[in-house]
Amino acid sequence: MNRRAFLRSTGAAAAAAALPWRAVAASVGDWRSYEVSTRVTILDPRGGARAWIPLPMVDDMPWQLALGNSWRGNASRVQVHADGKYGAAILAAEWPAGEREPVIEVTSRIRTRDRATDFSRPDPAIMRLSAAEHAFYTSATELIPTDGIVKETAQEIVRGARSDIDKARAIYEWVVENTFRDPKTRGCGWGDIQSMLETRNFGGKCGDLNAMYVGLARAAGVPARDVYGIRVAPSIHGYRSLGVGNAVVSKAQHCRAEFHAAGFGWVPVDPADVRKVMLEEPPTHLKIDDAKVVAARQRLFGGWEMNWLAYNMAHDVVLPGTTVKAPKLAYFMYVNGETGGERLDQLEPDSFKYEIRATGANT
Amino acid sequence: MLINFWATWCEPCRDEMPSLERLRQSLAGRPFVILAVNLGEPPSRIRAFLQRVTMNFPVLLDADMAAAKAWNARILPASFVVDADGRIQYSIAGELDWSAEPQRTLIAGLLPR
Repeated sequence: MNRRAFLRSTGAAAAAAALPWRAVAASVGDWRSYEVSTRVTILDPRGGARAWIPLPMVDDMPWQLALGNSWRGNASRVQVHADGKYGAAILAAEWPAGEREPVIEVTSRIRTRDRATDFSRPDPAIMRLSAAEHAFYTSATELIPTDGIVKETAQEIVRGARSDIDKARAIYEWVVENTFRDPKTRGCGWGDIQSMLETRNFGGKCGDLNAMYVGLARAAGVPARDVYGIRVAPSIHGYRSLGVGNAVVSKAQHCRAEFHAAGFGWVPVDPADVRKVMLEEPPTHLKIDDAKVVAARQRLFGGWEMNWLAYNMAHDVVLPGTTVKAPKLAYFMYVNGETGGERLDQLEPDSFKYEIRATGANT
Repeated sequence: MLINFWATWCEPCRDEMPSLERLRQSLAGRPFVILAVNLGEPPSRIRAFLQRVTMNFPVLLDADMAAAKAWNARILPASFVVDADGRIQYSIAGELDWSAEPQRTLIAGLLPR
């Protein structure tokens, strides 16, 4: 897609804002290209500095292809690491003591195309996961236990559901109906779902709500995973809340979820975005039976608009080469940095800054 | 042999190209070749780029980016210096002035006499 066409589709999205999930034929099956640049500056370096930047998912998916990454800046050492358990691609940059203004700009190119699942047409060739994969994608993470209150809640939700699809749908509807988007949540939320269930405070953002989905699905025996990424373009389906309005996307991080079912493979879902539509879609604070919410709720069980870049599916991430004693990251979706023996605040950076820009590209 | 993975959209790759050409010229007559492997771009775009930039060495098309994956070239430009026995002696992810004396000397030292 060239820049001109990209701008045209932006206008089309604005014009269609009044319609629920505007059908756009061009989005089905068509690849769109994006260039995403992340510029990181350590503002007050003390005794050397490090930064870690998430890169697009390395494995080619039917819905995302990584075309390449490049970097510029004054880092003395740059390496790409793969998180050992999940394979998340992490670019790690280092600056020596004495570098007054550590800076790096990483540019990534990707192609994406929309996902949609036709639940009336299972593909017999798509088998169940292997036993090892099934065990991996139904296991607990540090913040997403699959026993105790999580398991009890999941069992209650899927009671009577027989297939994995039925269970996955029941959990989806439960998350949509019982959680809410809390705009005061820092970042995307860290997904401490046990605390959410124990306190019955179901407010949060995608990192909480979709983690709730994944935890409940796993606890119900349905393989599921979070997918962490960033929105890179407006929604061409007419949803202002489900896209970005300009090229600077520094705060547009967004995570989604998938579950696996025989006959369908990995199925995309995004209950958190249904709640985002309810809260933010003009005129805002929509009711759950509003036509826009109903349309989004239907589409987001089995479909993703790919105006979004997927970074990785990793939990409990240890930053490679870190010299700071710090807990594992619940996920790796934000730029991280450290200097002077301290980890920098990835959500509200005061001693470092980063800006992420995304544009449509020609490739 | 120097294998350089690149793309026209990659600014550091574009900036690095003239230094590769200077390196080639400085080692002309020696048993040394540069292979520029383009990642997944259409030939028309590469041809347009070659009309603006002098590159007197082969450009290979990695249309499905299988070669880049096999070489683990995740950051562009990615360069690999391979010796006469086919072993990777050096690799770098990022831009370099290949015509600068340290790089030229290092590569010249690997060439058979």
